Amino acid sequence: MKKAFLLFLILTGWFAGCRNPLENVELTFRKPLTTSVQLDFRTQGGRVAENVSVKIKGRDADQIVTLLNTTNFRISKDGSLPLATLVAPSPEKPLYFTIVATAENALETVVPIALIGSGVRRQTVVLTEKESNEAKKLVATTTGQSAGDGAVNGPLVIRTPPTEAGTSVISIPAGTRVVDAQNQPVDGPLTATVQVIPTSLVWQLPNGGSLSRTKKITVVASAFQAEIYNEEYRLVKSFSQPVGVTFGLNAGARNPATGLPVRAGDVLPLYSYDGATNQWKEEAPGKVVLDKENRPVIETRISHFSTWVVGYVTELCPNDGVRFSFQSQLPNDYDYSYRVEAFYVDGDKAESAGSSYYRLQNGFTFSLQHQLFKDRKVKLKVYDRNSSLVVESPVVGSCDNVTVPLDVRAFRPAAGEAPVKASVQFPCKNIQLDKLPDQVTTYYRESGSAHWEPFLTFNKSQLVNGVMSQTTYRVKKNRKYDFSVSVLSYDFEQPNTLIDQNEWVIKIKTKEFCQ
Amino acid sequence: MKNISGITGLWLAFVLLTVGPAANGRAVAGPGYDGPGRDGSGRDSLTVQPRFGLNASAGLPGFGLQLAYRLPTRPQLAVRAGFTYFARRRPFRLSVGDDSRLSVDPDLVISMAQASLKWHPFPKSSFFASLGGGYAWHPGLGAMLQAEDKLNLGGIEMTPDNVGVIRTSLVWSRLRGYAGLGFGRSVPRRRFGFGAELGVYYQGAPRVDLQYEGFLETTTLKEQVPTIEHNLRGYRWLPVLQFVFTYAIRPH
Repeated sequence: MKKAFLLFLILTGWFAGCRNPLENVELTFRKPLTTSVQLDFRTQGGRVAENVSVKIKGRDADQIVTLLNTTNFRISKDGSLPLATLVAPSPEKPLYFTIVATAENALETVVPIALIGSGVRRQTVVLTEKESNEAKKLVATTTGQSAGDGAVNGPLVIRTPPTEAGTSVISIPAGTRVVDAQNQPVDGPLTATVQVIPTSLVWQLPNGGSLSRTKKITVVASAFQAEIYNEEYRLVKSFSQPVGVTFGLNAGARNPATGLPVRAGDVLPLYSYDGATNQWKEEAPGKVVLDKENRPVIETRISHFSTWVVGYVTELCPNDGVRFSFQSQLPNDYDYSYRVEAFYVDGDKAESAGSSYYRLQNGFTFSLQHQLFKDRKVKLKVYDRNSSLVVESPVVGSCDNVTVPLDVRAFRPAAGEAPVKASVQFPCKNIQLDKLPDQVTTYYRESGSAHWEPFLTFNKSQLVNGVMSQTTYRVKKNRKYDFSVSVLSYDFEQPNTLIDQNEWVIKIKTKEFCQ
Repeated sequence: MKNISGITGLWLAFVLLTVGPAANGRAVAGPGYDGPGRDGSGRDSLTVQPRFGLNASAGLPGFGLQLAYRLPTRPQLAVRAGFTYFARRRPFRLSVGDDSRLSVDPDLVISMAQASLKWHPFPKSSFFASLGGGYAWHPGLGAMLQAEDKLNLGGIEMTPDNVGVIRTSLVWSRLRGYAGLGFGRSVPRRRFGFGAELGVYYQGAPRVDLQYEGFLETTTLKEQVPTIEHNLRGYRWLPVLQFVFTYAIRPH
């Protein structure tokens, strides 16, 4: 009995002497790091690429983190992945790394990035489905091997699949040393891929083919993107000696200088794009010759790997260009966007110059600065989303410094569209703001559908008496929706929510954020 | 008579085990502690006291086996060396709400070698005090938590991918000091004995090792680890309550 009592005393003393481990522990949301790279993962069709895994490789991979200072790289529902750097890049100390994106049914995609200064680098990473027509018709892969000094063991021939631009061939002779952007040998087993950029899809060129603010590639006779990388995903940038390249040319390509079909003897401009630095460069032009089958090709030598284009440049408007201003009766909180399309007009002919989506509240103005070709006539068409109504602007000079008014007062919300007030409600009026994330992004989809759409973004500066509110027309009463709240890339979902009133409230039950 | 035949030894053991303490007292004429004969010389006029004992223990913090040695020159002292082991690694589920469970993979292992000096201060009592130390091969207790399916937190759901994986453990010093009190002899006078021991290991304040992927990444939990460690600084003592079954290894 005495022993048991002694035991009781000792154990009681032990536990009584200990504290609750979570006493005085205060959890808040972390302050995200500043975005240095904004990646956007898309499919060839422009949709959000799903179930993508991302690795960061390369020399400075250990300096690249998420905004939460982790290496758990997660892509949000809208396909974006912001990255931060642990050290500030500068021209003296640039950061080199490689994005490696994989998905179950997609080809592995390797994108080099070089950061040489402050500012946000935006990069779209396009994943090609393995079984898609693009993969079969446009992508070719081969393998090779290089020694410790980067010398390839045998000739490495990379051949594009045959397309309307024929076949392009890169021939790297045996013994050529392959090195990365830091001039370090790329050794070991090599994977070489080449992807044709169809000549008809100029917009698929990096940065849309914009060489500068005033020059843009608008006609392509041949284009491909070639990459060689080793098992550590170190990308070949250059060679110890120039290597031979044959550019197959689009049979229908015309020489703008002559206005005639391309023929032997023509000299065509060549451009390269460095994916790492996100820069286009004008290269020495190439002379057209006929190959053994009498097809026009350009045979030249290149000293570095990039996206290579045989094409022609058109000058863009150097100044602000034309602006469009809208008169509208749409409610200020009407959060649907309208399709707006610009056209080049030549007599009776109209050729699309591109389109975009805008919310068209009264007084909204936008400019097509550095997007329109010089010395052309343009007009704008605006399409009503709730009817077949199309509003068309007068024709104006593409570079005219004018504001063109457009009257879309006939555009109205559709029948049944009504404002729904969406609120995030805390259980108290006074909130500890430093405990909240600066911004919360939400997504929505009608219950049963597969794809999420961006919805509302709440900022903590909107908090009034413990409530953040916004109005939306995008959800309709008496329908069920799935909602997702994304906090620093992590998601909470509220599925199958019936909107049965003109107000939808997300109630935060915890008093953790109350003062 | 320092040496004794095996048959005589077996007979004596039989007598000790079957006749009981009274006969035991008479037969070996031993004092209350592990050691000496009546003359305090460490020798007995009838038999040779065993010097080694094997101790099997169970209790907090696990199961153990020790070899004990009674010092010939100071029979009130004995040294012990052995190990203690306990493991609990079977996963279990933790309910955290409506149809929501976390899968918990515990890593509760105590694996420790220890040595101690045991002192019987009273000749007629088996009471003892003990001092020693231990070395832990597995100095921490931990667990891994992850969601099996979507977590439903009052209508708000989190996918396992967003919940992530949480690995946490408390890690103490590998080297530990020990002090204890108890009853019973490590080298029993009879062939078998029984004892109990109450003690405590000093293992230093624990260090919190916290690794996670998932939603917790958005919080300042990592920065709060020093506060948690401060709160846990009282957990530097590991209580010991052992019930010991002892066996005397008799010379042939």
